[in-house]
Amino acid sequence: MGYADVYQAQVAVKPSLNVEAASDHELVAAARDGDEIAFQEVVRRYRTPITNFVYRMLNDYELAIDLAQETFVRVYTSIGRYEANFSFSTYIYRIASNLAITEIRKRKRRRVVSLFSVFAGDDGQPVEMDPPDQRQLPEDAMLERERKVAVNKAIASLPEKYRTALVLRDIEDHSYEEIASILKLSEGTVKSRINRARNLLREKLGHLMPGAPAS
Amino acid sequence: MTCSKHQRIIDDIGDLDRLPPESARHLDACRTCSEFARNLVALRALLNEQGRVTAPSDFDARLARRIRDVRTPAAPAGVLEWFAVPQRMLAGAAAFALVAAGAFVVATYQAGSHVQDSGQVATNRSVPPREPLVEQPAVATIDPTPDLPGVTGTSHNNTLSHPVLSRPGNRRLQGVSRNTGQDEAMILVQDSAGARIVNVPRVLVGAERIVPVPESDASVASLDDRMAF
Repeated sequence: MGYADVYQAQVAVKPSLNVEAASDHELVAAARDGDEIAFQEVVRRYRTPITNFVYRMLNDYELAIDLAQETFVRVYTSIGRYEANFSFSTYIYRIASNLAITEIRKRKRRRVVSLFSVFAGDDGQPVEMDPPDQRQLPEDAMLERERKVAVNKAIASLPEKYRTALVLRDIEDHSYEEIASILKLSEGTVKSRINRARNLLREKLGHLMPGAPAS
Repeated sequence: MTCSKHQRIIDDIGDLDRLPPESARHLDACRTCSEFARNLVALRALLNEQGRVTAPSDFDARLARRIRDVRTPAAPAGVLEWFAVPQRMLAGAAAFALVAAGAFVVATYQAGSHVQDSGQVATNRSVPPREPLVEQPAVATIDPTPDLPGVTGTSHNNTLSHPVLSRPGNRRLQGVSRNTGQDEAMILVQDSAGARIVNVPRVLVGAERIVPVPESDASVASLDDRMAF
């Protein structure tokens, strides 16, 4: 074996990337070069946060999984165009939030009516249709279920621009700077939207918050 | 430090027990910031009470299939797949109904026209139709017919160069022209009465007068009548 052959062999066998220790940028760069393991690590890191984010935006688990997968498909297909000017987290959340917002707008156009909102209360707001459960539920479990439904419904009732900012901040724990980058807004606008969303939620959920007077 | 900055710190840290001492002291003194902190912590606790949903165990496998599908472009959708969309199905049904209605109208119109034509035919058929003229091939070479009685003079073969127009069922010219050396010609005629020789003052072949004769010639007229080819 001549020198050239040895050199070629050394070049062909790339040192394997330690995917667990690699940064997002390193993983994306490796995935761009065809490293499937690196892309799998990207998926492993973000599959749950993205699924949770979309779920809290749409309040639909199956749809959240579908859109989370679509997010990764888009990352995969456009990985060659990814520019490392900002964090990968910002990049992938931007894709996911755009998909979620598109879905919210589609629903608005279709005027999807949930089975849980076909009845209106005295204030004109939809009230939950709660079919009677024949099983005897412990009181704590029933209260917890009611709180969960009320919270999800309150988030879902927020206008999409407030909802996205609030979920990213108070549920996904992103910084104002990151949120501004994801949504391509100024930090001032983000802060304003988050404050507005919190006030709206406080109006809707005040009775469920600790220290609130019992309803 | 202003209230706004303290609130930003509270917002960023979230946990009131981990606030920097300056902000913690401010909270104790400022009712507005204290209320802001209490509301924020309570709201976040409520929002995160139900925990985070996690991706299902088959997430990666499903994603791998999806990416594989993206890599290999799907085959062009068939007609049935195209019609699977309800709006398209309705549009297709409407187009089919339109075409069917058009075909029905055309068929109805043609049927009416046919009935009208049939009536016309029936009317025409009340008068026996005149059979159309058909072109017959040129009559073959004339047999000199030396055995025919009463035939005199020099016989010679004569080939018709003109097609003869006749009507089916009419008498047919079998032979033509035996030149008698006079101003007359003899024509062999065969019809239901049998074959016979007819003398004619000029040679006539079929409907065409080979030798022009005056229109006033009665013998030619009678010959035309008898030999209406």
